[in-house]
Amino acid sequence: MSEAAPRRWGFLPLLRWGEFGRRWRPEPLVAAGLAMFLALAAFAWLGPLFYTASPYAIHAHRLFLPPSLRHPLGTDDLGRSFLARMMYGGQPSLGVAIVGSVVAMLIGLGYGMTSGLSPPRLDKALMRLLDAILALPTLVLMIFFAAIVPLGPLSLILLLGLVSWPGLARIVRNEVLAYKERDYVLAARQYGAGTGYLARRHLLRAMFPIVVVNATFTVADLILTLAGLSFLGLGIQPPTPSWGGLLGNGSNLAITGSWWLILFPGVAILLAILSLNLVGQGLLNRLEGR
Amino acid sequence: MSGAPLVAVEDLRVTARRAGRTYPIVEDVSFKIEAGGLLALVGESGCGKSLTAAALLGLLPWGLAVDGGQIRLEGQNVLELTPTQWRRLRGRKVGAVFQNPLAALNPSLPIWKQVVESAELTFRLDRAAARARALELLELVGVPQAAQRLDDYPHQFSGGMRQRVAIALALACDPRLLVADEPTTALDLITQAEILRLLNRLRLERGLAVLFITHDLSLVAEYADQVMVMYAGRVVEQAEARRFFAGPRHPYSRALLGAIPRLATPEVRLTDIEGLPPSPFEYPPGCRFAPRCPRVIEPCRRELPPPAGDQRQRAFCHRPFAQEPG
Amino acid sequence: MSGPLLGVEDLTIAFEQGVGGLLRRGQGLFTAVDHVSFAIGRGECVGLIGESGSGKTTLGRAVVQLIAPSAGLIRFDGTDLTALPARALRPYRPRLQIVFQDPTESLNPRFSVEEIVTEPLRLLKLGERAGWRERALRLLRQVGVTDDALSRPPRHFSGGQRQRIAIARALVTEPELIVLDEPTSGLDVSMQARILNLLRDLQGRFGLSYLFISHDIGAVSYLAARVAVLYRGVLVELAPTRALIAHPAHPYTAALLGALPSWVRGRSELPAAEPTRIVAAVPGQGCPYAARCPRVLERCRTQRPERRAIGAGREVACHNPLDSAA
Repeated sequence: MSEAAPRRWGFLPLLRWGEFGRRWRPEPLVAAGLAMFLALAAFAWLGPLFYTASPYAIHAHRLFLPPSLRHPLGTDDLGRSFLARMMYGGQPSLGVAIVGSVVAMLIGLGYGMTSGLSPPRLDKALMRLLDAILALPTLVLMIFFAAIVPLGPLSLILLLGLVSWPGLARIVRNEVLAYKERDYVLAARQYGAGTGYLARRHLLRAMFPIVVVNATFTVADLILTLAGLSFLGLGIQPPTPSWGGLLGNGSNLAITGSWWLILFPGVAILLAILSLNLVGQGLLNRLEGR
Repeated sequence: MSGAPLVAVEDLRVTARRAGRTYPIVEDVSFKIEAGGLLALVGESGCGKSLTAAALLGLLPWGLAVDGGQIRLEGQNVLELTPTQWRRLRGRKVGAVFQNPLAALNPSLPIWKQVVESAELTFRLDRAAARARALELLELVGVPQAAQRLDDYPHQFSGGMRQRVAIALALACDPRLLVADEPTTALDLITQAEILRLLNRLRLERGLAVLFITHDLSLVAEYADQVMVMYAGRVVEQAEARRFFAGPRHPYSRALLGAIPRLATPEVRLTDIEGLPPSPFEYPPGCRFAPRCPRVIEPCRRELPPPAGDQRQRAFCHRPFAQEPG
Repeated sequence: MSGPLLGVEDLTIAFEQGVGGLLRRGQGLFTAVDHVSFAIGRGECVGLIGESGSGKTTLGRAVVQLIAPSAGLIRFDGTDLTALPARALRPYRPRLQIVFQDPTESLNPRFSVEEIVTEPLRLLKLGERAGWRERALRLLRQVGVTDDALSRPPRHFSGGQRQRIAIARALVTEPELIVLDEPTSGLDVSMQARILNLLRDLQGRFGLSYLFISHDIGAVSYLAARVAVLYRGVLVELAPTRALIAHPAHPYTAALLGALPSWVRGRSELPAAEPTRIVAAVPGQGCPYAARCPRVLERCRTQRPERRAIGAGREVACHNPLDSAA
């Protein structure tokens, strides 16, 4: 049940003396990823405070202008400032993904903890149900819903949240099962702790790290899904800009040779996903190295 | 047993590099083991005993290195060899057994293949010869009905039998030295006694030199002919086993022995040592045991203790206990 | 209020073995604890010895009501706890505590020491909330942990100190009986000695009763006045510690003592006996030790030996016990 006494290679703890002076050393991956992601978020939400051009104002006399000092990221097919559209386009792309992921985490955490703490029979039934849900093809499901629900940020958040929780639910359930048998949980049960107390005081805290890691990866995932939907015309609806929509529009106009209309939204999506994956991987390294 | 000892380690020093500085983790370790001899290297976790073994096996973890001294195997200083030469020599001359036999065994191979794997590489045996060799080895270590068990997998063996298989594996190339690092810690009492008896038989019958590493002094009282106690990376006492158990001279050795409950005297209070061993990055000057020593005197805090005693029992202490007649 | 503090009567704990699949439910029952009876008096320490897999941990957890037994009674201060619903059990919880083997496992790494030690008070709603901290501090001092520990997480402490914190948590409800489940087995010898001394001191100071579960006969003999020996879930021998050590009656007890290092055992020589022939018991009928027993008789195979008294406070379950009268 417990590990063998840590006697053999007793020097191994020595090699982990990172907290030498008990100073917190940020994981380099996390720091880099976080910096990158915060820069993107600042671009989307703080950028408009400094660059005040409207993302909607149409100017028929300056269509398809390449990047220049006057129009840093050029203009699009309707003569709108592409920098402004990139800034405002970041807000739904990042915001919907972040809030959607929070929704998914809450559902997944609740479902997983409930299942893990239920009596074995109910737990089994809940897991079978989860298998059934996982078997549904997400994208097809999304397209189906997108077709019947009016599309807006709120409905997209709910939609994305509702399809991306099962993975976390399963992880949380398995962790709960493992933690439930830990001696400190047994000790608490011996003092008469009920399920609610165990969930609140012991298990919820233990789930925190995996939920955070999972949330980072889910946000990255949702940014990509959202971009895919917008690309297909099912995401954020024009004229409201979004990075996925801009990319889709740009690729439709590829024939005009307006490379900036594809490059900038593409790079923005790439950087967002890369940064979040760096954070997630860094946190994961931390967790496993602990 | 005349001539050069089989293994002679002199002034071994292992260091760790950290933030541009070098920290000695193991210092001034010297010992000899004759063919057929059993040296017990004893100490608590973190005292450097496993690192000493790892240095001998060329298995130091990343970030640590042998930084001085000599390791002589049959007269040859292995630290002067190229890594490849040393690896070859080690493969043929040194066997190792660890605490967890499962870590040494591949779960997906039948045991006969594993037992002779290294021998096959070394001696280029064909299949029939290899099977015969595996059978011979398993019988040597006392696996019952070995002939029928050749094709079994590690999980089909009990913990004690797995450790026997691991010992057979270590013996495959007829090594001269066997390094056993806590080989019985994970085993039940009765199995532990069997494994100890097996190791003892092997060294007596085959002239195998054994370096036996343990935290439990009581285990080695019967079998060891030499005892070496380490504390915080240094040897504190080195003696013939009989002398040592008659009366350890270093306060730490004495405390270590006094901490073991004995059936005959449950009323005798076990020895308490306050405090914890220092970390290798903050060793105190002078004697490293001084901050916890009940017999500490002024020089202990300043100067490394000189050896006290003779070849048969030597304690590195400013104020050792008197030698018992033994 | 007379009678023993704890009375375990015919306790049996069986688990469904891990045979998965919907169609094969409930096929294999594994009996971890098999009709075990013993009692612990007020202020007494009873040792429970067994190898891994003997069911000793399961038994200890059943005593503190963490595992529901399949049959039998657990009387605490005259009341059968197994019959009580959870609500009625509450008043008994503070009087009955447990210390687990591995303090790394048994202390929540995300709690501070204060949260850990006061958790039983919080859960059992004992005393004034304002007094919890003071109570935790007092107990931590008593087990030898310094005052600045309160706000720190368990990882800031060594293994031995963590076990002290676990002991402080067990003491915080002012229990009468503490189940000690291998509390020293993950520790270095010197730390083990300190914990054993601490347990002995606490027993004297608070008049505690212990059920001390261990595979280490030396440690058990240091604390326990009486010893119960468990083999595959069956209590094979129960005797005062001194008598058991001097003259074991059950062949398994003799084998355990014989496997002890001579340093621990003392001079008395017990020959390590091998079974003359392998006799496997008929499942569910014979003596569980028959296959390994050097004194096996024909009826050991088919007839489960009943436990019977053999002199002052001694019981043994064996058809052919060793002479214990000597």
